[in-house]
Amino acid sequence: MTVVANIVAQRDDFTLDLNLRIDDGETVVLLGPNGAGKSTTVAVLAGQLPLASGFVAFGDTTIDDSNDIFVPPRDRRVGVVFQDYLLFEHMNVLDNIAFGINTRGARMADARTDAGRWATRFGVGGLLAKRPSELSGGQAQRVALARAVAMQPRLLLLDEPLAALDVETRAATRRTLAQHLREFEGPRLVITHDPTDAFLLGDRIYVLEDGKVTQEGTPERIHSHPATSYVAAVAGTNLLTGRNHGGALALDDLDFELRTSNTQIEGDVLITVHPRAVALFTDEPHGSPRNTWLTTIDSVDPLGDTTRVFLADPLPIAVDITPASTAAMGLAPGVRVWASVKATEVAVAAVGSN
Amino acid sequence: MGAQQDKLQVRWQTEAVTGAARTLILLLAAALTACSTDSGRDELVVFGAASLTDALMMAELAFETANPEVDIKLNLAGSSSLREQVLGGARADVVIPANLGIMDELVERDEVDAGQISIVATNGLAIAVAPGNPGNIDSAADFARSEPFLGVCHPAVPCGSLAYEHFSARGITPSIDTEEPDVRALLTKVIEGELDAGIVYESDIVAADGAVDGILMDAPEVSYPAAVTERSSQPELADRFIAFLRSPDGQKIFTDVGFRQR
Amino acid sequence: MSRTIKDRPPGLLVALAAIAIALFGLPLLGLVTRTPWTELGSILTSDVVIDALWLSVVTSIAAAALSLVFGLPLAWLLARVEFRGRDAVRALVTLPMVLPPVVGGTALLLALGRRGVVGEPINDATGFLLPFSIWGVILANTFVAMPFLVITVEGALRNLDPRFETAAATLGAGPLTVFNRITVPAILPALRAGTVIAWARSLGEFGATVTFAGNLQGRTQTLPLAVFVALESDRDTAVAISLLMVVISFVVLISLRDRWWSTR
Repeated sequence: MTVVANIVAQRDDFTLDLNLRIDDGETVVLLGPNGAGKSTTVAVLAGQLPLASGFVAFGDTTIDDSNDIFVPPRDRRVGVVFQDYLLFEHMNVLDNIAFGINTRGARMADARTDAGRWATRFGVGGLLAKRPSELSGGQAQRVALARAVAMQPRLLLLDEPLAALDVETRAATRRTLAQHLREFEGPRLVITHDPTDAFLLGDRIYVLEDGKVTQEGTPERIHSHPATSYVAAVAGTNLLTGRNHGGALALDDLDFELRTSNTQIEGDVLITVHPRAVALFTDEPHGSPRNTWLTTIDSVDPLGDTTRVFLADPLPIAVDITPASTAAMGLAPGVRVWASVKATEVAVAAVGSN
Repeated sequence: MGAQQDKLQVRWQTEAVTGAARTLILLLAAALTACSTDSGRDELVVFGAASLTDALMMAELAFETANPEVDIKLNLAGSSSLREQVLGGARADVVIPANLGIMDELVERDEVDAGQISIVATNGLAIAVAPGNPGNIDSAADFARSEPFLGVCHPAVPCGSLAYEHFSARGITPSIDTEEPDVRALLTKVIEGELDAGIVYESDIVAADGAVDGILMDAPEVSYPAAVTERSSQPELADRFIAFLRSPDGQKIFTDVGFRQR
Repeated sequence: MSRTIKDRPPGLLVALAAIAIALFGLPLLGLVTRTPWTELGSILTSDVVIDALWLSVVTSIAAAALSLVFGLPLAWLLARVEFRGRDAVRALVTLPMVLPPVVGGTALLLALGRRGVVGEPINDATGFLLPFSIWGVILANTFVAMPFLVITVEGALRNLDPRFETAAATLGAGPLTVFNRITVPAILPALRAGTVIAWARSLGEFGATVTFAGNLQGRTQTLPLAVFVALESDRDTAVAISLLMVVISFVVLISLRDRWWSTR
């Protein structure tokens, strides 16, 4: 079954206009900053907000045609994992999972048996008698996922599934979530503002900005060819603007000059510098034609097999280096380092060419 | 805030027929009385039985009109409550309960001098019958029938104990639906037609002003004794008020509202 | 050896609280000092008291149950459904709390009495009559007690995050299932507290009951009515019954304190 939606929805003076397609067994990620329309999308799909125009269809079944048809939330079979999970505190884990099975017509005893099996599949089989308040964030997320999947939904919808977790547990939980998502064979939609979630969980990503999709594609495609500065920033590529005068780039809004090997494209240009193209040194480097400058570390974020370092003035850009180098150089916020990027790694494109 | 104005409303009250309106007016009158505390006048506090409400309010008006320097404060309540208040130390110059037994208790507790007691009015029991007499009540003997809705005062209050005394003297086994804690509550239920009949005082029938029919009963008289209290700060004024109640003008007030002459 | 450091509670607050305690405690002290201990047994086993006790127990529990059955849906309506005149309905619900109970009883009589606007046609058609019966006592008690439950429960419903109900709906639950299995369990503490408060208010109810239902031993005379008439003639009995009521309410309220009407 395939979910196809043309969502046009209105909330106050905000308009969402989104075309969406999710196939069985596919995880689609809706990635966007705050205010882009993510929660409006959740509300439309879960049945909290009727469409202004367009339609939502699950396979052959139309759920909302913005006219006569509006299937109420209880009949939609959209399994939602809410941002803060919304587990029912007056029920134990087993009954939380059994709730959606029971409401679909199964007798309570059968629903509990079934729920126990789902709990085991999602790694919470040992927590059946616990109350939600006794669970860790990661456990609660798995219970919420089991509860949503156990009702055999036609669409599995995860709203910011990792936002409620602290930084330490987020990376580990994200990995198990990726495995568990595959337990559900239907269409899956993950809503997130976190690019790391998007790249690790998504088979396909829709980038949503200000109510519109600005880019759609595989994580690899979006990573290598960001279409907007938001995508570039979240996808990891540094996107700058400036003017090219024979290889000397005067950057907009920054008191800094970069050199590029490209002298063909003159005038106003879009400049991309891949984070992996930038090297960091404790001492001033010397060698082939390259840009070098002294700077300060703004932040250091471990992302598994790479570490993302953000530099402060004069050129605030992202740099990816190995965790080993990070440790060897003792990189931490406030540390002074030399940054270096070859002129051949500074790519320019004419503005508007895309 | 004229005292005059309260009195006008109290007069009007005797013509009012519904219990609810009556209650509201009484509350209003009480509120007006409470806020018209003029200083500079001689204050006389009179504790009177609730059944004397109309008579004492009219007596107050008449006495104050004749004696503008006097300000009478009425405290109207059930006789037992009056006794509790006096024994509890409340300031009263004159007490007028609805039965001699209460007065005797006050004498025993030295609140009243036995020689000071005089009767100001008497009253008799009567059957109040709801408009149209739906229960076909003719006499107290009909209180033995089970199908009409019948009420009396609770035996703990004088009108109730008198009614039950009357029943037992006549060999009547009454079939009662409610024993109301006071006579006004009982009368209201008869006026509203909730009860087909109730045993009240003659004066209550008159006060109801046509809202109920009355059937006189051959029952013992009730006496209303008045006395100046031992702790009164105004014994002379108190004497004068009691003398006024016993005077022809005072007695006219009692008979106008349905009491018998003393 | 462990030392604990605690802030001393502010003296002013403690002093004011102590005055409040005295306000409640002194009348109880007065009651206890005037209790006729030697005759207590014979007074409390008299027919009048046994009858009144039984009526009070039955009618107060019935009134609490009715308050629950009708008050919970009403609280839900007020908290969750937007409709025209909702504020007016809310004000209407609190009417019995501000109205003197005697006036409330009079109003009930004018509406549901034997000659009442609604009571008369019902009586003519069915012969059923509320005044002067136990049903009248229960109705009067429910009238004064239910607002306490409605207000308590409505407050709890307003504090409940409606997204839990949304979550239940996405899991396939219809509105009634959501109400029964999510909403009610979530507000259970408030529901229990409201029921207990309604019961307590009903136990002490006097004015509306005597006005609407009358006063007859064994039929409509509850403990407060028995106290009131006893005050007219026999203070020992009045004090003894009052003490009995204090003991009943203390035993019930204290024994339910932890399980039933703690706020959590």
